[in-house]
Amino acid sequence: MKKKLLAALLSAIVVMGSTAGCGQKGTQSGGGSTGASAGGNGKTIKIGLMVPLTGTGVQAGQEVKALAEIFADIINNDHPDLNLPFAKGEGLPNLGGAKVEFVTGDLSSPDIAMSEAERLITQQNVIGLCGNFASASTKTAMVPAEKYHRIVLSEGTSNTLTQAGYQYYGRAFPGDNDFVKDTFDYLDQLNKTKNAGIKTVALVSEDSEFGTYIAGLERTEIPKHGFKQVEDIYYSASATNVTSEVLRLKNANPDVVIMSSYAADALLFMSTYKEMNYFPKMLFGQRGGFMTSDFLKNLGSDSDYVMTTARWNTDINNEASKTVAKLFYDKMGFPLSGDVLNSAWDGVLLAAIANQAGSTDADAMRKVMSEGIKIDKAEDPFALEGYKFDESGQNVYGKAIILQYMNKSLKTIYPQAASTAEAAYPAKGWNER
Amino acid sequence: MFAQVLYEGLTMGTIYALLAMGIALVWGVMNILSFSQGEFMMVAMYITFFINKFMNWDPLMAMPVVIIVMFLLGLLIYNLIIARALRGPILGQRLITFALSLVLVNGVTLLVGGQTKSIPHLLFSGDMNLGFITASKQKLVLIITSLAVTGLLFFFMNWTKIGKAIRATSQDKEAAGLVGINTQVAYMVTFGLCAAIAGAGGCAMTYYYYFMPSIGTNFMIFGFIAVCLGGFGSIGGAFIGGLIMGMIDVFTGTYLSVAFKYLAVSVIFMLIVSFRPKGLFGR
Repeated sequence: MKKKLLAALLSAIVVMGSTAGCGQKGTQSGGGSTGASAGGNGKTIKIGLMVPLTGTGVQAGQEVKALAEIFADIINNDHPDLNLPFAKGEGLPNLGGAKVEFVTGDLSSPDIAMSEAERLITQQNVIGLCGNFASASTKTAMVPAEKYHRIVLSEGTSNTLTQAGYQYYGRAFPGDNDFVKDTFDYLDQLNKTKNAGIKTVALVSEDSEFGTYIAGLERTEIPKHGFKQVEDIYYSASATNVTSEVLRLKNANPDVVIMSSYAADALLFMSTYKEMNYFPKMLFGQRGGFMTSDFLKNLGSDSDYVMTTARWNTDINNEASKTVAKLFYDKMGFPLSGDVLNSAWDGVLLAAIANQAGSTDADAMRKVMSEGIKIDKAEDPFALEGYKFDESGQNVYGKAIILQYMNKSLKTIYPQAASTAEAAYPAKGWNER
Repeated sequence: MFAQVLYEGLTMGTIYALLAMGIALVWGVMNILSFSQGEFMMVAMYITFFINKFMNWDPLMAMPVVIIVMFLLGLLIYNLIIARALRGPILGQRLITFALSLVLVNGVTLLVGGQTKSIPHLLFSGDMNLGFITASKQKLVLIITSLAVTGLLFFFMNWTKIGKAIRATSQDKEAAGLVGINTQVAYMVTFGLCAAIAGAGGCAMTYYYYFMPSIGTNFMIFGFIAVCLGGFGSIGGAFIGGLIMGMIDVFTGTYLSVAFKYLAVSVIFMLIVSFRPKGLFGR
């Protein structure tokens, strides 16, 4: 009998595990409440929050969920002391004080993203979808979103998303072309202002859409800026070793290594770099794994000198930014990362769009996106000039920054106007630190 | 450069070998595909992590404890799940460890979260400059552990009474039973050993790898290919298969193209299976 009980318990873990990460306090997840209305004339509007529930993205998903819960609490309850959207008063004023509920869907793979998006739309009646989408999962989620007319705000950075002709798609922050352009503009600036002597570049990219698309853009930018490409490495993000990749880099000895990696593979590369006593003059990440909380937590001071493109950093001089960072830190016990913030912030944008439209009808919401969402810059943690989405779905005010890990924290180093620290270049080798 | 690549290939090979030996053992004796071997390694990594966190023991100090805990966990799982599945249809027997791997991944995610973990301060770190190669001390731990596990396993299987009983059971279960061998105990110890090997491997791997609940899954395909290369049922073959895998992986990636390394592994695998269907050392 006891054995049967234990076996049943193990089986239960499978079931519970499939929803691992959904169990944090606060907001509902999965197939929770009923009676919510997508029309906004009920008590609650539901927003689909797509996060990975299995695989290597689980941690980021849990962080996005935690932040979404914070935002839902701010919107739903009166927080007169906070300088964030809908903090004063309860609910969304133009929708009769409707409360916001984030409903979780699984984003573990593109095919799961599609079925989960459809489930959230047809069964949970969400007014739109947000979350930590990758470009590939955005494309699959867009299929039911276009079919059932729901807005998807996704920060998948591939330009193919804005070129696809989606009617209900929006991206608040820059695409890969802007991030890549900023990367090479920054290298040019270093050569001009600091006589950095950067001549050779190596590309290291994981082989899914994220990495291959960015690598394609980088490959065309390299000759335009007068650099020489000395390596072009593709690898699988689920690789169990990157020994030969690092041996090739060591042999090519480029001035700059530009990487597009997810979380686990970025860490694997870093440990292999250290173990092989190799670190280029500049190691440059294209967000992804270089912007996850796990990167800094596991590497500590070994993360120093690594640069990355980003959308947000804790050192942005803006009260709303500091407030959100503090609320997150108080809840989770570690710093907020930009990719987590923009994923959950898209949920706030969806609520703001519906509120401004006075309706949760997708066409009315899309009209508001085209006209521009009215969010006070002082209440925007990104301090953007605005949110106005062009026909392709791209926010024309989205902007990128470049960060560098220094003394176990991230500092903004580019553009000049936003920078809080001087870049450290060239990076010191492992033995010189 | 060549010597360095050889060293790196050897290191990777020993990691694959550690995984492959457990799979080969369970298949050879019990005729079960151990899909959960990578997850056993992952569980061992977490046990090592928590021993380090709460008792400040280096993974090498923790290794005997982890091996014993994993052995006991293997016995428990065998008695609760595997033994029952062995009484059922062949498909259930084949897939039971697959279900177990899902339980372990999701269970660990549920219990400790999805954060990537690592062990911050290690007894051996840095590298040794040997002139012709730079040898990472962390990787040396992996190589030595793999060689030690292989040696101990050979000793156990060839020189101990229970080891001989396991070998006899693997050759002919009914005949072994007729001469008085308790084949159920042999099966149970085999599964425990398989988990214990993963315990040693997982513990050593914390010296080099950052880990999260899904880490074991990525290794499994290489473990299976290593077993096929070396020969199902042959522990020595699995070890050699692992080494071959590691060498092909690193040499192809370094001298040809990173994009071709898995292609090369697959082509060599197909060639060996075509000419020696039971693998290099399969019986």
